[in-house]
Amino acid sequence: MANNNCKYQQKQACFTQQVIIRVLLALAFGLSSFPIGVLYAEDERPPPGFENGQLRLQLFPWSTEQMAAFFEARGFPVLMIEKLSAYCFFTATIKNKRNDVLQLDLADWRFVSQDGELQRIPRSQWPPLWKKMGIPLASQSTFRWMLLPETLHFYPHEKEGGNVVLKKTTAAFSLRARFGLGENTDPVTATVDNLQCADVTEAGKPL
Amino acid sequence: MNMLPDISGMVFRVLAGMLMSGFTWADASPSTPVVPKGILSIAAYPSPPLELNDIDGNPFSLAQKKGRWVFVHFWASWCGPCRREMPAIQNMVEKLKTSSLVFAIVNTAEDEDTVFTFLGLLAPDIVSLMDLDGQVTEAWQPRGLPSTYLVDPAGIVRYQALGGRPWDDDEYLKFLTRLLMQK
Repeated sequence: MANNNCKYQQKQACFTQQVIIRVLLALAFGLSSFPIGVLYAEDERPPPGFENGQLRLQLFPWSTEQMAAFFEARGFPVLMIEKLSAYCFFTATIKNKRNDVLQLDLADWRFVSQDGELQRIPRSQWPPLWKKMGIPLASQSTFRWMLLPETLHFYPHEKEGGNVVLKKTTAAFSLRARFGLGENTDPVTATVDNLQCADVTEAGKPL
Repeated sequence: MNMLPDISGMVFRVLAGMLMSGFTWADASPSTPVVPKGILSIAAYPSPPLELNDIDGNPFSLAQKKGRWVFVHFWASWCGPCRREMPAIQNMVEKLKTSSLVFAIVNTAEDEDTVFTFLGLLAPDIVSLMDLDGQVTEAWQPRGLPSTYLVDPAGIVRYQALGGRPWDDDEYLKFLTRLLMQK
């Protein structure tokens, strides 16, 4: 099953090319990974989140620059990146610590600031927009797979993650999330306070 | 006193007991795979279509693999768990290369340069199928990336793996090997 051989090139040129590619990749590797691992060094403040005996929920805010760099590296069209810059991105990771199914339904998540509820952009709103903008299917697909599913049943001890997109705000806000456990069972609730879009300074002004 | 009803009752109970113990043997037989952690035995359904070219341009059709178990895996270079899992998949492929298991390792919506460089670093022996526009992945509707399905010789999806798995661990290799022994 060998591949990645330079079939059509001279052996020496092929070797040189491979070495260059590997060195460049080694340098760039940290930047090309899914952002969770690179957003926070160990000595930095941990991401906002919630944890109890039933679940762990963490929210990693993306700055506009991080978002743009990440999508640019994947060949997203400039128009798409410009559009996305107007939104506030969080990568949410959820781990079900229970021994039974935990039900995620983003309709049960409320993002609330002092000014009221923030608008979350659901998955269904993106495809018509991308179609209208003529965005290639590959970019649409990658963007879609990076979103947290609207609904998902987490199996015991399963961990999944994905992006949640909000209308940008300078205000601090809270997440009040509910996770279902099936009929006749009270849901698990989780609250995360003091959330902010990553481009907002401590003074509350956008960068 | 008529003993016949009691005797027939005893015979019934003995036969029932034999049948029950027979079922127990069947369940514990070596050919029944023990499902490792993170692998779900799911409600069976016919596999969605999977017809793609690999990175070298060779066509692959899942429909033409009937009669063999197929390991269908979806991945992307931007997904951290995919990066951690891919070397284990390469080791598994190497260890099972003489088996009848078919591998359909599908990159979701990335270009050849990205796939070439990613695999060159992490799993140079893997030949990935290229779902260039992401539409095949879309039809399979995985829970997320990475995602793995095991399709039986009749083309029915039987198992699904949750997230990345250490496929080269003994537990997983034994499971796959025993699957292949099933008819």
